[in-house]
Amino acid sequence: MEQNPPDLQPPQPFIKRYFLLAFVGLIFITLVLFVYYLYGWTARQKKGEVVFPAGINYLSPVGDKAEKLDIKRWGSEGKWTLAKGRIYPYSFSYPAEMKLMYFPNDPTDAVGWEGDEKPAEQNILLLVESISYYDKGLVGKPKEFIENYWRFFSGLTGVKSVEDFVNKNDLRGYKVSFINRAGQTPNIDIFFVIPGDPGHLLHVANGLLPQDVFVKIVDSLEYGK
Amino acid sequence: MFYVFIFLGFLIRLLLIPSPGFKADIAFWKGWGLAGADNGVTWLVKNTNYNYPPGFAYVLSAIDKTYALFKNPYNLNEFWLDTNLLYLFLLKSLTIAADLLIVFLVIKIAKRVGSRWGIAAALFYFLNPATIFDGVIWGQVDQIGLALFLTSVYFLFEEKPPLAAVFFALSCLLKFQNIIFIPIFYLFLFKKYSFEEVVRALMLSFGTFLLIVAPFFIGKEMESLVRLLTVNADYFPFYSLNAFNIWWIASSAAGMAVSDKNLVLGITSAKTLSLLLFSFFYLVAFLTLLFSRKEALFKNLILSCSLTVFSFFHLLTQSHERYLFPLVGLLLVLALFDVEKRVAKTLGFYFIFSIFFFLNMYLSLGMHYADQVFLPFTSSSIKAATLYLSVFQILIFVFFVVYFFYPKILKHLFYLLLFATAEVVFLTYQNANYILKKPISLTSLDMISYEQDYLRPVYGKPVDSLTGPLRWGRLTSNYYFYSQGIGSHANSKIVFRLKKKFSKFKTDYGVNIEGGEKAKVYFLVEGDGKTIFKSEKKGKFDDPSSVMIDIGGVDYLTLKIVSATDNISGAHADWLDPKLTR
Repeated sequence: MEQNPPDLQPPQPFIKRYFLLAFVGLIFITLVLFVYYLYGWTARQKKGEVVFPAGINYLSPVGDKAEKLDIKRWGSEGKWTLAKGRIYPYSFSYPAEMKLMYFPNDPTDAVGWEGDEKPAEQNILLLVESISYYDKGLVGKPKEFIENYWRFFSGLTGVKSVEDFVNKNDLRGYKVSFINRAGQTPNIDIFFVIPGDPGHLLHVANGLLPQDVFVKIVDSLEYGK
Repeated sequence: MFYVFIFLGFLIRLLLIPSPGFKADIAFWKGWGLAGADNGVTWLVKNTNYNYPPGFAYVLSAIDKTYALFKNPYNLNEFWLDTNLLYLFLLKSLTIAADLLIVFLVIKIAKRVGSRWGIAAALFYFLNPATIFDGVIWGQVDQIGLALFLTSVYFLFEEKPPLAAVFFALSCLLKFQNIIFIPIFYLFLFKKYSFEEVVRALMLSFGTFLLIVAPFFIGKEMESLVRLLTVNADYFPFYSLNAFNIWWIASSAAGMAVSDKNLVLGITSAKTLSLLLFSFFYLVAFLTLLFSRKEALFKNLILSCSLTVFSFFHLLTQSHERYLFPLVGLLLVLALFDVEKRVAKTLGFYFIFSIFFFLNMYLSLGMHYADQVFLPFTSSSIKAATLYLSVFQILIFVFFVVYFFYPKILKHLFYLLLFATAEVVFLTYQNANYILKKPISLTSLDMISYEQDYLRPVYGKPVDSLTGPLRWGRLTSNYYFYSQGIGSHANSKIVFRLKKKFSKFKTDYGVNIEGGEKAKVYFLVEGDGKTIFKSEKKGKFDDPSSVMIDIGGVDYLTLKIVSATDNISGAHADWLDPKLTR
């Protein structure tokens, strides 16, 4: 029997096997990437849900390591965005540069904001206070509740002033200055009465926000619209 | 065909990677990993609620560092999305790699013991719905701990105890549950080799430990390390954390709502009873290995480890649903030792065990995140299902004990009865005063819950003793010294569950000598939410007072210390020699 000359020898079996494996691998990777692309597209439609870890945890650098935010310039370019409550029907406008954070499964429907000195959990801008959580006897008595609010926090020692307050959307409430352990009144707290709901109050606090930004946020606050 | 099935299992895993799974766990991984990546492992442990082993912190940090190479982890609304595909991919790639390593190890161990069932066993693991569910759907990392432990076991088979010791230490440093194997592991080394080998292995294990925790030494954060190593001892003090076992049944399918400090036998709490039960079966496992013939040592090592895991899950309170996971690998390795005609039976048992374990995890995930599983049932139906599952899982445990250990239990009956007798004596001693209707100290019960504005309540010492050994002292009020009591501070609320077992409560009370001169407090006692006693105002230089209160029919006894001034500074106050009488 004649043998084929060397250049007409059929391909060695192991080359065929690896070629086949590479082809299968390529199909496999393409399939996976396609499915992931489909999933990514679907996920973008569904938007997913932001989930933060419970308890004392870490969300982003703070203090010296935090990204330096030019808080004083917030809102200066006129770009404001609307934020809405997830449980309660409040809404307010805030500067587009500001990063808000909601806390999943939070019954107070609180919203915090990222500052360069403090994380969002310590920069609560707004929350819905449930009066019965503190003292059932003060339900329906918002002013009395506010005047005694400091008693529920060991970091506060008293109240300096409680003034009637109305914002531009006719939400009524009280503007309060609490006294801290150092005898200072660094914050502005505003408690809005929720129409038709004697058991809850909308509580807004300025924290480290610039005064003009805080005023605009408070004036834009609406409930139930 | 093997590669076809491996490919199938791999494909299934890849397609399931995008599952958000147990969102809270993944959020914790992200936060902890980010803290470790930005500030280092010691900062992570010191400043967050991190409660996993020190070795795992490096893994999480590496994941977040890798993530940061591709995307910005500080983009809050992207990074923290439960559908963050890149993060899920990075995390679950590790569990897939661990699964593949376990496949490899099972096959290698099978070759070592001369079993021809290695491939089948490996595929049983890789295609096990419980394995797939735990890793790529739930997002947990139990397979990493199992992979390291089986690596250690493999090196034991390969007669390389130094490597086995190193990997065993790593397995404990990445998954705390593996510490339950410590006595068994070193007993095996002693039986197989010698005491010198045990010492050598201990040194290697300890060296591995020191290497992993070196940053804590360097950063002088030993306190954080000690806290991390001990924090889980009572982290979730409940009957059961969705582990469908006897405690789940005892809690009427509300395991996370019932404190394991509840009294179940006289004044013995559920936790104490569970520890006694677990200890008994741990002794069975230990004796099995201790008295093992040399030729059966490897098999008995796996058998003992398997019984330990079963007992850990079924008998201890505070069990999680995933605590059975090591058995997903161990039972397969056990099957490899069986003679041919029994392998099919063992694999059949493995199959049944896996199905129920999978269902436990499936329902548990569904109870927390209904959107992650298909569970079209009412909550009462689900609750009933969990109880049935508990019964089946208990039966599986009982079957395992009887099938594998009955002859061994009979063989070591003397030691087991001796130990059981010791446990009964302990229980009797603990309950002696209760049985004899004599007064018992309230401090022999555990608190169900407490709240305190400064530090926390402490038994037998003033509250400042928690700041360090230099502040340890005796309970004393105006120089009246007490050996028993509760050091506390205003404002505080301490709750005990009495289950209506007692009729009288007697206690002294007063402001501790370490308190401030301006401190004034009231002591209150509540029974089931109703105030049944309020003291006069007490100050630092007042002698302690005494009160006897009728508490017949009281289920929850609450002790409160309330500041009589607006300032709680210096209000160190104590419940002195509190006693209960039936």
